[in-house]
Parts: sequence; structure tokens; C-alpha cells
Amino acid sequence: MLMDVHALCLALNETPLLKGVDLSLKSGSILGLVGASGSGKSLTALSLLVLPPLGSKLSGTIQLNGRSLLTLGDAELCGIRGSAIGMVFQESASSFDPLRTVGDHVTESIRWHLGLGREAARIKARQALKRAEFPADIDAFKRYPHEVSGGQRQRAMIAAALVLSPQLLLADEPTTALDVTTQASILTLFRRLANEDKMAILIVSHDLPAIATIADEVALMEKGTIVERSATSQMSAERTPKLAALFASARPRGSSAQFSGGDAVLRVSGICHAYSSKPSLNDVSFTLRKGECLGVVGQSGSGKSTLARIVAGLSKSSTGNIEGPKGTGRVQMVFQDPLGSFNPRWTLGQSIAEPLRTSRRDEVENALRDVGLDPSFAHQYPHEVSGGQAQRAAIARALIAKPDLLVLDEAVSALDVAVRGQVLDLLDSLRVRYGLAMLFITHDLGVARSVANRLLVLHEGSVVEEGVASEVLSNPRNPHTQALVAASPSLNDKFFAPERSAD
Amino acid sequence: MRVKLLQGVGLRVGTCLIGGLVLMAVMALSPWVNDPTLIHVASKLQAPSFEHWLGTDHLGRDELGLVMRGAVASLGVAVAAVGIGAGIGVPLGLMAAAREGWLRQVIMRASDFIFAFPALVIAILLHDTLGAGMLNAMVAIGIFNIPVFARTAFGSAQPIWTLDFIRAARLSGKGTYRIAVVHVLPLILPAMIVQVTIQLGLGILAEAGLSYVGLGVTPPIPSWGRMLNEAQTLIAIAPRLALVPGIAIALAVFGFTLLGDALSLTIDPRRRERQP
Repeated sequence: MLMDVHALCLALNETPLLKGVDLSLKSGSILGLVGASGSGKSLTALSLLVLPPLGSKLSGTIQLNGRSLLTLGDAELCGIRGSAIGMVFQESASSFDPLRTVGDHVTESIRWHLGLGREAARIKARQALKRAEFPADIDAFKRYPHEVSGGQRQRAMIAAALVLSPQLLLADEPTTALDVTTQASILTLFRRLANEDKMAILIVSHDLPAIATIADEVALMEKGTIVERSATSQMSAERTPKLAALFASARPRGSSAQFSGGDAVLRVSGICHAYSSKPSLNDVSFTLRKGECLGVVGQSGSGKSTLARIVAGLSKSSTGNIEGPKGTGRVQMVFQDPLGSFNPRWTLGQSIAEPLRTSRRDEVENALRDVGLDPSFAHQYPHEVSGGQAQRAAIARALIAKPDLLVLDEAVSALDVAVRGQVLDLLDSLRVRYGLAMLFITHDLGVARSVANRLLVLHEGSVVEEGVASEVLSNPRNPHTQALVAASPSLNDKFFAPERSAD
Repeated sequence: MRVKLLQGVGLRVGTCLIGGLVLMAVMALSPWVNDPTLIHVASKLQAPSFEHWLGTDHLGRDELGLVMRGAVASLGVAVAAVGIGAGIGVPLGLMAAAREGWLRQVIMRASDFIFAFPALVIAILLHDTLGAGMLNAMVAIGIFNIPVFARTAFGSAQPIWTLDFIRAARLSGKGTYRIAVVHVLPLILPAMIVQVTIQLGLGILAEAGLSYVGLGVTPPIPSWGRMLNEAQTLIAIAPRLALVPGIAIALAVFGFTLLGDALSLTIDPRRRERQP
């Protein structure tokens, strides 16, 4: 065993956050640590580096190659962090110093740990970037973080973690911010590193289907402990019921009621849009009918969100024609970040009543009941409720003025899988009850299959495929659609396939 | 812990200093205090005594009374100037944040232009139209404050406009200016209050400076700046005449700065975390 963790506990202000975590990591194998947000998976990863949050108490044993890390002093730990253990964070522009080139971030740890000169460090950094499959035609030492894509930044971060050839690599939600095709290629890279470099890798993620494609073993955390662990190949509904349930909640469930044509609510014809002469939408046309949910899918940067804003009237298209519901409040929108969708100083009730001309308490209470929340939520502030509850409240606000068209921009992407399932069910039932037309923007094909009747696949601003959702996903014709489908782990039936659980 | 403690001390000391300043001004205006502008040349340059706690100046005026009355001028000018600055600057900044395009450009570039002139230069310019006096000082410092508030309001308001709840408000039919007032203004108010406190301190300093060079409050109204000016030639004989208004100015500015700093720590949790 490379690393053995036993009875790891972490308490912050007398509140236990980790309650006895046991883990072991083998060279050349990948452990996927999954769980809902707040279950303690990220804290576990940080604790392995002995970097617990300020003011918290860490106890238990962490052994790396037989050395107990918790008894070491800070100076010795600094020698281990970065060199024996590497860490990769969730891709975000904030993980990088905007004033330094991407390559400089990779050389930082070399110069610190090995004391090499600038040129020698650059040579080593280039090797690491190559191993992390950073595109060879881009000079990392000439590009600043904002000049490369999210996937390339993530590769650079992996290179920075790899550069000192650590025995153990910790990755905290390494693919969460990336679109499906990039996610798939980054996960494959982790698998290669484990196989070829005999590295032990711990990947923390909330996305079990994605992790299961590459991990040797998965462990499920709940409330600060590991409740189930299993070799990936041996997961089953009997042996690992909770993992199986998590898989099931991530699985697309298929829209409950079939759609049977209504009047057209929205007619979009030939819209184009450009940001500073770079086209982001190119001749997009479609029709949306009453009671229909049209899913819009595509990679990040394919123009999905621009389309959503144009349809909602928040941006203007340069050319083209939109015939939609007339009058204020007839089109409403639900956004990705549930917290950012509310004024932090307003109660949820005040925000929900905003689309109404005159605010009436019973209407707000009815709207809250409609989305499955207790009317008492009207008096809560956004930071006092969970992400799922806030998103339900956002749906309540969108529906209170009885709009004709609801635009959802990645409305469930920020939610945990279990909560996501509930919100999707809610949207589906509201669509059927009110005959609502919905434009559902998502990068997750599993989600799209759960709610959409029809699908529109965007690629670089153009519609490349359009059709009935189930047909497009089971039999994609366009190569871009095929790539998206192939990269979507939640559509993948390798684990817990219905026919396998039947026997 | 240490940060919290320091913050508490700063808040308390700042509040005490400003409270004392306001109390002094109120007492100076009360009818029970003798008019300090009366001249008694016979009792000039007396040392502190029971009758004149801080002594008298070269015209025999009571130094304590003058300093107390000086607080009225200082506070009056500073409050009016900040009122002008915030009253015009905050709406301009809000408007610039709400509107992209030419309106924003006009407002922000005009701010840059005015910002290039210190209050002293504006006062000299105004001297020809308004003449020296309290009004001149108020307007000059007020004009200088407008771009300060416009910039702070713009800077705090602009990131709020990119948040999703603004889009939701727009979809519910609210117009740009209505959103600016209903959503954005309450959210930037804490930052504006901090700025007001800081500008009040700077306003007192600016008033003293303008009066010192003779562009501010005119005789016989007492002012700290002019007291300093008059004490200048007497510094060898009666250094107390320079020290008293000097210390008053220092304490008043110190009080507002402490208060502003403590308030901004309370209001902005990110700054609180960054403190060692």
C-alpha cells in the first residue's frame, strides 16, 4: 500500500466534519471518492495533504510509505506536498495567476523543490506538459491563462502536479467545470497516468457515472464517513445498494408524458449573433410548441447560452426573426447558479413576487407549494436554504406570472444528482400541468434525455442535428452529436444496465 | 480574534472622537457659551487660566471658544461637501453602471477630468465667481467629491449588473433605472457609507487647507485653518495657538478614518479574512 488512512477525523469548532475515514491507495490504481456536496469528500482530500481548514482539528493516522504524516512538522510536510503528493483542483480561472503564463505555473514547483535554474526548469516543464497532453502547437510559456481553453488550463494544472513525478495524485472535481468531450479526454489521461507511471490517484467527484468509467475502485461518502466501497466492476444493486441508487438517479429517466403537438409558441428563424466579429450563432431556426420541451445541447462555447438570452430578450440578435410571446413577463428564465439568481438582501418571497404587478401573499404561497416547498420559505433569505431549494424557488418565481415560455439555462447543472432528479421531475410535471413551452439548455445529454421531447444540437453556433430526443441520442447521425453521445457517461449502460440488474 | 478586537477598538475610539467633535459644535452654538469672536485686545495672549482654559489669542479671543466654533465650520463644510459629492456622484455612478455605451463613457471620462483637479485648484477657480467664504469651500470640496463617489458607486455597482437576479428582474418587466434603484442601490449602500465617512475626514482636512490659504471661511467666523494661519507668526511666543487647532484637525480626521476603516471591515467580510 502506498497510502493508508485509518480513522481520520476532522472537527471544526466542535462540529465533526469527518468521522473516521478509512482509505488505502495502491500504486497504479484509481480510487473514485463520490458523494453529495457537504459529505466531506473534498475535506478528505485536503486532509491527506495535511492541509485542513484553519482552526480545525485533525486526528487519526495517515501513512505514506510507512511514514506517519500527522506526526511530521510543517517543514517536512512542505517537502512532501507537491513532490510526493500532487494536487489538481477544479478547473477555474481563479486557480491561475492572471499575470503569469500557463507555463510559469508548471515551473513554479520545480524551481521551489529542486532549485533548478530557469532554462532547466522549462525543459522539465515542457516534458510534463507533453505528458499531460497539453497541445504541442501551443507555447505554454507565451500564453496567459485567459488565452487558453478550460480543458487546456486543466491539462496545465495536471502538468504542474505531475512535474515532480509524485507517487500520489489527488484530484478534486477535476472535470466538473468542463464539457463532456473534454471531461472524457481528461479522465482517460488520468487512467493512462495510473497505468504507465504507476501513480496512485484519488479522484473526488460528485459524478459517479463519469468516475466509474476509469476508477478501479469507488467509495461513497455520506456525512463524513465512507458508507460503501467496492471494486468498480463488482458494483451491484445487492452488494452496493447506495452506489446503485446514485447511479440510478444520474440515469436519464425519460420524459413522463409524451408530447402531442400544440400551437407554436416560439418561432425562431435565421438568427445570427457575433461577439466582436467572432460569430457565436449562425443561422439558427426552430419552432417550439405549447407543452413541448426543446433541449439545446452542445459543447461549451457552442452558443447555447447566447441563444437562451436572445430568446428571452436579454440580448439582441444581429439578424433573424423571433416570433414569441408578446408582453412583459410572458417569457421567464431559470439560471444555472441558484444563489446568484436571488438578491441576497431580499427574502425568497419578495423575489418570487417580483414578476407580479401587485404582490399578493397567497399567490406566493401557491407558487411555493407548486414547486414542492413549504410556504414558510417565503421568509427565508437565499443563503439560508440549500441549492436545490433555491432552484425550486427560482422556478416558482419564473412561473408565478404564468408565462408562456420558460427558458432554462443549465438549470440543474449546479445541483447534486439526487436533487437534480427531483427538480427534473418537477419541471416535467409543471410542463404537463400548465402546457408550458420550455427551452432547456444543457451540456449534459443525460439531463437532456430526461426532460426534452425534441433536441437541437449546436456546434460552433450552427444547428448540426435536430429531432426527437430519444432518436437523436440512440442513433446520432452527425459526427459532432456522435462525439457528444460517446463522451456522456450517464448515457453509458456499462454499469447497472437494465438487462444486467434483471438477472 | 485579534482582528475583531482591533476592529472593536477602532470603532469605539472613532465613535468617541466624532461624538466629541459633534458635541463641541453643538455646545459652541448653544446660547450659554460666550461669543468667542468678541475682541478684547487688552487681554491678548494670556496663558491658560481658570477663566480661559486654553488661554487667549493675539486679539484676546478665548481660544477654547474659537476651537469649538471652528468645529462648526469644519463639520458644516465637510457635511455639505460630502452631501454634494454623494448626492450627485452616486446617481451618476449608478447610471454609468446601468448603461453601457456613450452615457457611461461621458460620465466616467468627465469624472476623470474633474478628478485631475485638486480641491485647491477648484477653489481658486471658484474664487472669481463666488468669492472667498464658506460657500466657496463647500462647493469646491463638493465638486472634488463628485468623481470620488461616482467612481466608487460605478465600481461597486458594475459587478452586480452581471448577476442573474438582475436578468430575472428584467424579465419581470422592470426597467433599467428601476432595477438600479430597487436592486443595485441597496447592495452598494454599505460601500457608500464607508466612503462617506472617509470623505468627511478628508473634507475637514480640505476645509482647513482652504481656510489656511484664505480661500475658505472668512473672518470673523472662526475656522481651524485660519487659526493655524494666524498662529504662524506667533509660533515663537505662543506655540499653543498653533497646537490647539492642529491637534483638533488631527483628531477629527483620525476619528473619521478609524470609523471608516472599522465600518468597512464590518461590511466587507473579504477584507476581514485578508487581515493577518
